[in-house]
Amino acid sequence: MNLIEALERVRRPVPENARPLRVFLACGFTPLHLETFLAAHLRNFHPDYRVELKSGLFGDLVGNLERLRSEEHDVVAVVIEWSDLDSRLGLRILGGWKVESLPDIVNSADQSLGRLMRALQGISTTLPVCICLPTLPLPPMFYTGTQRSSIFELSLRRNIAFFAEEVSIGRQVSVVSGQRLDEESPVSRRFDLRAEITQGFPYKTTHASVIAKLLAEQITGNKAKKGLITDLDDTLWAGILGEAGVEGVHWHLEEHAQLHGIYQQLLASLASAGILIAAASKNDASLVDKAFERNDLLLSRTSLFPIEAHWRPKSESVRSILQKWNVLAESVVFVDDSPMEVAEVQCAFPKMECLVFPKDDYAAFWGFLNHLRNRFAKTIISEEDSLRLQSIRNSGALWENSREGRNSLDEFLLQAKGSLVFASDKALDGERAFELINKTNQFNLNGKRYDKGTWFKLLKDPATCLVTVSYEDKFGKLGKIAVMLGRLSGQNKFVVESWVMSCRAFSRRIEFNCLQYLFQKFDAVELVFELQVTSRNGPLIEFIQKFVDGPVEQNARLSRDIFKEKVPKLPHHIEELVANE
Amino acid sequence: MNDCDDRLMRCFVSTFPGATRDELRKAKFDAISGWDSLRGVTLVAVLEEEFGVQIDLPELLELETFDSVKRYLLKRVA
Repeated sequence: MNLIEALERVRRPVPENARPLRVFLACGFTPLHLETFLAAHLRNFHPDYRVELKSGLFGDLVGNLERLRSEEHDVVAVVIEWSDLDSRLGLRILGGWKVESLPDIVNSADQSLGRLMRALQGISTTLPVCICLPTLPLPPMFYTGTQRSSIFELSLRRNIAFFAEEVSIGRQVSVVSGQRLDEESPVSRRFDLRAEITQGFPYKTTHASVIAKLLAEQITGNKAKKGLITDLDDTLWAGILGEAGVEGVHWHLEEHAQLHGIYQQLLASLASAGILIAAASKNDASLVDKAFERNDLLLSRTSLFPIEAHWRPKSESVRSILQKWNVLAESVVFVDDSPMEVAEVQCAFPKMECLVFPKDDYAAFWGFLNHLRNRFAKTIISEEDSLRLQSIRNSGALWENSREGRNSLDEFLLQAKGSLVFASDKALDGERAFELINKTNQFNLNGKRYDKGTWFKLLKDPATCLVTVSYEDKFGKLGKIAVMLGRLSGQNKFVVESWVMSCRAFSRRIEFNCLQYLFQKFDAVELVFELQVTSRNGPLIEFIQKFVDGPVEQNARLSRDIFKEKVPKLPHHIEELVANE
Repeated sequence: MNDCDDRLMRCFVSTFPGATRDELRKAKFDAISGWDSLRGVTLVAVLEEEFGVQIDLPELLELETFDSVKRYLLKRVA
């Protein structure tokens, strides 16, 4: 994005009902075009937000942060440059680069980092913070010349690295990737000496745009995909299983098949982070089973579920996998080495991201790996991530069992020995609740999403009630699977503002337990749902419909009496974690 | 010639969204609604990016109007 495009983007009208996103841009230089680019990139990522940017005083980065009033902002973007740590590291102040000054410059920069750290630690308890570390080249101030790193330069860089590690331990602080910056904005094309001297703005516009884009990405967060479906032959391994046999397919360096090994390694890494991985292959199923018995595979059989191996169209396999996962096509990436297969699946699932595996192109393969990593990026790994695959496997077995008609649902749920834990302490796990609300589509009251700033403000509001629900049965743990957010509203009414439940928990009647809990916990005689029909929340609407005669309306209401009349048997054992208030 | 005119007008419009095209074409910079030094710096940056030339703010201010900037750019780009 260049400056003229950014200006045009910023000037475009926002929808009347747009939610404000109040960003404080903290930097020690004149924010000038960086401010424009940040507003433009934020608008690009979030067209439905009204971006309101504020910045502080020139030349006082730390002071700006120390004076910041957190209630006036939703998020803070901090752009640090060397001159913020000691003005002698910049070019607008002639403080001297004499040899005897160098230790003092390193020392005072370290003290500034300490002050910055304290300010950021304070802010990050209430607001999310995104930081960009110094990106400009240091001036030619060291006696070693520019071809060799002086001990002072190394000390400065070590202190910055230490600061970044320390400050990012807090969950609400993110640091822009230096590697991504280097890739998108080469160091030699960052500094604009003329603009620095004449305007107090040190960046070339291209560099300002890259910094702003990466900050905007951090602020808005990306919508991570949930699962990956991979082909096997010439994708997960090199060779055609049906022709070469189990020992004839490869993924190692010595067989010139290293790219397939690296791909397996990435998939194993994604699986360990809770991403669902499945295989769709035109193959003989028994042969595929044998191939997965090879103990030198980097992606184990247990990390994959399900494996669809047969000779029918790939799109049929993909459909079956989506059903077993209970995930929408748009949350999934499909990978196959055959452009024809990719086109066939893409045609059947236009919203799915379908990629050709670049088996013969090293440069494209590198881009492909990075692309996949970003598609499945996560900020934290939760307990639920490690439970996800096992619980989906279990529910597959579970529902096959019930479809076969061996048991009625009542009997089946009784035998499952389900146990639910309701927690209403906002301090217990706001992070998982935040994640679940922002990624659940199907059982979702209204599709409402929250940015981090709004979320933390909501939780701080004493009127807000947050309930999280965890489930486990004899088949295994599902972890936290449902979140309800709402408030009491006079005369025993409870207004449900958000309600989501993971698709892994469907058909266990947990949704009934959720409502029963709200009635009991808040002594409510009526629940009011801030319901919104979306293109994806059919399962939720279907559930509410059970209690309502006629069409489901926006502010659907449910009385305790009607609930009692219609609620089926709820066999789960219930526990409650009580708030420590 | 027309291409330069269009590109230049796009630079002006994006920098001064509150002004009409007619106003931008006829008025002196300091008479354009919304003009201040910050807008001047933005206009310089936009022109530099669009036309690949280097202009200093004082140099731009001496030019005073849309037409004189256009003549200046045509000379520089040629």
